[in-house]
Amino acid sequence: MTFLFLAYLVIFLGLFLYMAKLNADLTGLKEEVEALKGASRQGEGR
Amino acid sequence: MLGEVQRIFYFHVPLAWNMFLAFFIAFIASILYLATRKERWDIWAVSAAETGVVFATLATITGSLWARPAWGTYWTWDPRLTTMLILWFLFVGYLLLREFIDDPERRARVSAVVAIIAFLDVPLVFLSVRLWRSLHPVIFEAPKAEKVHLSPKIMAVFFFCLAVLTLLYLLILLMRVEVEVLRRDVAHLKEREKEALP
Repeated sequence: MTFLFLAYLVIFLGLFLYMAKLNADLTGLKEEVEALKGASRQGEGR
Repeated sequence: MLGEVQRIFYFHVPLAWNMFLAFFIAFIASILYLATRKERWDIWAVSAAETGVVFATLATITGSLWARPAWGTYWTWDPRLTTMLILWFLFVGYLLLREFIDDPERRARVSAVVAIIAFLDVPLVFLSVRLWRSLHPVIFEAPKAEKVHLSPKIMAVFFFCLAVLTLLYLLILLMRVEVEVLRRDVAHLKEREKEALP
């Protein structure tokens, strides 16, 4: 039972943490792209 | 009798199959990159390779947790386990190599060649239990004498888990591709910003 529990824990924790990392990366990168686009638009305006 | 621990099979095998799928996608994308030199294939290759390493890691750990009660040890230098470990190191090496090359075009070209060479280990992992004497069970397409007979109930649950994990894998792969596209967008925008500065 312990081994089965450990295996389930590893699978779900592994997949969950990896997906959480991807999700955080997506959010951060989207914001960064928007900020950079905004800055370049401001630069063109000047 | 393995008892409850046998249930690891429902996740361990689909994880391993999705790892094969991931490395196959990395292999095809790398060939397409070398043939066309289009950045999009490099994006697919690196995304598939990274997700493949995640699934390979989970498949190896769950296999090890199954092996302890089944074989009495977490690890043994069995042909399947050894070829699997080599495959893991090859693709981890592929990901590390990418970090050491600055020029994007050169990075994509060199890593495409490495991915193609690394993929040559995949048929070895698959065939290892059939070609050499191995402790690892052969569930599908085994010779009749060695075949493990699974009840229809077990097969139904197994294929359900396989379908669900494959869908989850595809979702993770698409997320990883989007992350890679955005990373490159940020790099391009920063480069353009630098060029625009007087």
